[in-house]
Amino acid sequence: MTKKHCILFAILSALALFAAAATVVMADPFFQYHKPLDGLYYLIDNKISQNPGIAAHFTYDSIITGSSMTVNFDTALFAEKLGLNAAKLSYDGAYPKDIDTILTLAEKSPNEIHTVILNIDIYNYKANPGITAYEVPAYLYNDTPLDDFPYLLNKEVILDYILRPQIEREGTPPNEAYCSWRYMYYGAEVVAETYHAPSVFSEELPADAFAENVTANLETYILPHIEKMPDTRFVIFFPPYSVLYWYDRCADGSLAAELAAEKQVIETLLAYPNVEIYYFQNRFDYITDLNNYSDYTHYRHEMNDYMTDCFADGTGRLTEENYLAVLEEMYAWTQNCTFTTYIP
Amino acid sequence: MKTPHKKAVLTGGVLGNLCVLFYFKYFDFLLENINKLFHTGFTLPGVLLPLGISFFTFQQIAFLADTAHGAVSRQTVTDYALFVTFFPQLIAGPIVSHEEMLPQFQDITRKHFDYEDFYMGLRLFVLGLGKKVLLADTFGIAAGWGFQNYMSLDGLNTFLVIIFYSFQIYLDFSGYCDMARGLGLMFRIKIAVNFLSPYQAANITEFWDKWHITLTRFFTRYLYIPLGGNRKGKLRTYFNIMIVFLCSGIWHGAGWTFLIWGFLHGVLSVLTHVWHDVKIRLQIHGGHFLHGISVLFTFLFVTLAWTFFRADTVNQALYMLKNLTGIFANGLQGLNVHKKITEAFQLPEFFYPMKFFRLDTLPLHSCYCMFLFILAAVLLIFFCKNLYESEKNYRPRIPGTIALSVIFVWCVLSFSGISAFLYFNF
Repeated sequence: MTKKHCILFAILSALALFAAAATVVMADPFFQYHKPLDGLYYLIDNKISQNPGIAAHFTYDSIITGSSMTVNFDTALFAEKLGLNAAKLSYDGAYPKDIDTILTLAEKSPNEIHTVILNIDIYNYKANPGITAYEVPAYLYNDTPLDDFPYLLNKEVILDYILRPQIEREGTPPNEAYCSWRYMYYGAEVVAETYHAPSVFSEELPADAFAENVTANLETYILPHIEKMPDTRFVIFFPPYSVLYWYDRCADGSLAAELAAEKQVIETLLAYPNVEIYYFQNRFDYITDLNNYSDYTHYRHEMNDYMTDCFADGTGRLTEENYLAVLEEMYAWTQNCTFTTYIP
Repeated sequence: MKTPHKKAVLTGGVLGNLCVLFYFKYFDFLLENINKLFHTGFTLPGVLLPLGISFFTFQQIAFLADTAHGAVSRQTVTDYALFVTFFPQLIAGPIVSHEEMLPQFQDITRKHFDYEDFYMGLRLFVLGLGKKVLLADTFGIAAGWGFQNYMSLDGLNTFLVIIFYSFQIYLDFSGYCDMARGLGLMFRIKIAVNFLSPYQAANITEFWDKWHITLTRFFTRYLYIPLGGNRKGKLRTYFNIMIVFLCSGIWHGAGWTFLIWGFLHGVLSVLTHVWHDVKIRLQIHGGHFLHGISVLFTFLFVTLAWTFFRADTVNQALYMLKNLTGIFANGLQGLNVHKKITEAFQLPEFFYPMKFFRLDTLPLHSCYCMFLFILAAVLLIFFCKNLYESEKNYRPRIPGTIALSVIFVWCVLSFSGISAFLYFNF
């Protein structure tokens, strides 16, 4: 009698777990096993979980990667302005090691990568090498399917990423993967909610304070990819943080060191013929208008559209001839800016 | 062995065990306090705590003490090793005694598979797993967030966070004890009952007779009674009770918060003994109403004391408890549950019924899932029979087996979440 119940329990549980795993393999919302199926809706909003699958199984000729400064790029605009079929592989708060991880995965895919769009946040390049923004789920980043159980047997994957988009008949439009602007609020009053003006001002750091870490991060995580793919165009840009970001750097004494680190990165990268560098931090009218921001660094998606135009027509590009003047102009602005008038 | 040798071996064995426990669990705490007191700069070694060390240390001490008193017959090394490391009870107890385990290991009739025992063990295991994964872990999300962000909470939300932690630790430990007993039963080994609806206790003494029963048994046998128990007068009894609870506090964790938690339980235990004496002397008899009040009071005391148990620092616990006085500071209109707390209960499985029944259009809809969890916890904790009582007359039926399977699959699918982070600094 009890034996019958034990067997019933085993069969029911095994069948249910098998059905759950089979559903995940078939729909594959994190694209671990195949590209998206026609006729299914997909939610693409989880960078840590979905990036490796996108890198491995999507068809693309270009990559947009970097931090949250890149999430609002519209890939349709990349197709229109630059003729590129781009896959977005951003990470919130990306450190150089995160970029290295995803570029390595993309290089393993059968896609030929024509262009890599990458932003540089010096704040993260001055950090100790090896840091990552978040611990990634290893089972989604390795090749073995044997450790995929947390993905295959996962109610959030089944309910939130498979069932829900089908019931709501709505997925993420392919050109808006990871876009955040639809649920973000913008304006000076929004910035004011999260910005805390510095109350303590630290001593100025030496100009070479970050040089060692920047070199190590570049040499370990970025330059090997640039060298490994000499025919790939690397479009690397410095995003336009708001005036408040620079005020914070003045307060923590890192302004001169950070600008020196930017100079170091630019000089290193300019030596590579397959690298183009764009500088948007000196859009002073834009960065001093806090209505363009949701917090002290994140700008509206119109800025991403503008930057896409620039990548197409070369506006804002740094060259051997102009980079020193641009950086000097930036430094002079930080010295003359009355930051306190911009505090919301 | 002659008595002096016995004593020396016992002392050596107990001290040896305690030294190992002390090094792994309390060495950092000691150095931290020396640094604070004497402004020294000793580096904390940051020793990793071996899994289950508090439990198997006590089990070994109990074995040594009983052996010294001649209560243990000669055992094989493998039986002893199995007694200490039997995996269902290794991680978080119960602290089993040799007399309940070793005879079972040696009982030849238990050494074959039995469907009835296996099914009953499976039932216990799955229901315990459900308590842990489906209920405790969900309360844990809200409580964890609340204790981390306690400074930003108002009175009502602090109250909810403290209550939710109380539910979490209850369901967590209750679930764990059921799972341990269930696993044991699958191997035809009966592990001691460690948890008997403790929040239904009418006073703190009764609470400790129902919460972590085997720990109370250990302290009673090997500390309280050797200290003199209640045989040396009232004051000495109260002193002994305080010693036991301070030891219990520090056993639970290395920190002042745990010591204070133990101290509070000790004080209420002493007061309960005093009140018990007064009741006998004045011949006070309580009815149902008084019993209800006593249960509520005991629950509230235990819950508030858990604040020290969970808080990182004494100041944090005091801040949170002080915050409770401001629950109605802004009147009833000001009672708003923090979004992060309600979100903790909005599991993906509730999305569909909320949509289907259009509950998401009703007022206070963001709180419905939270209310549902509170209701489930209250019913389970205060009104349901515990599994030990309900298993006595249990007979397997098809619907029950299907329900078990559903709970099991639901738990397995709930093990893994999805890492999702919103990061606003780049």
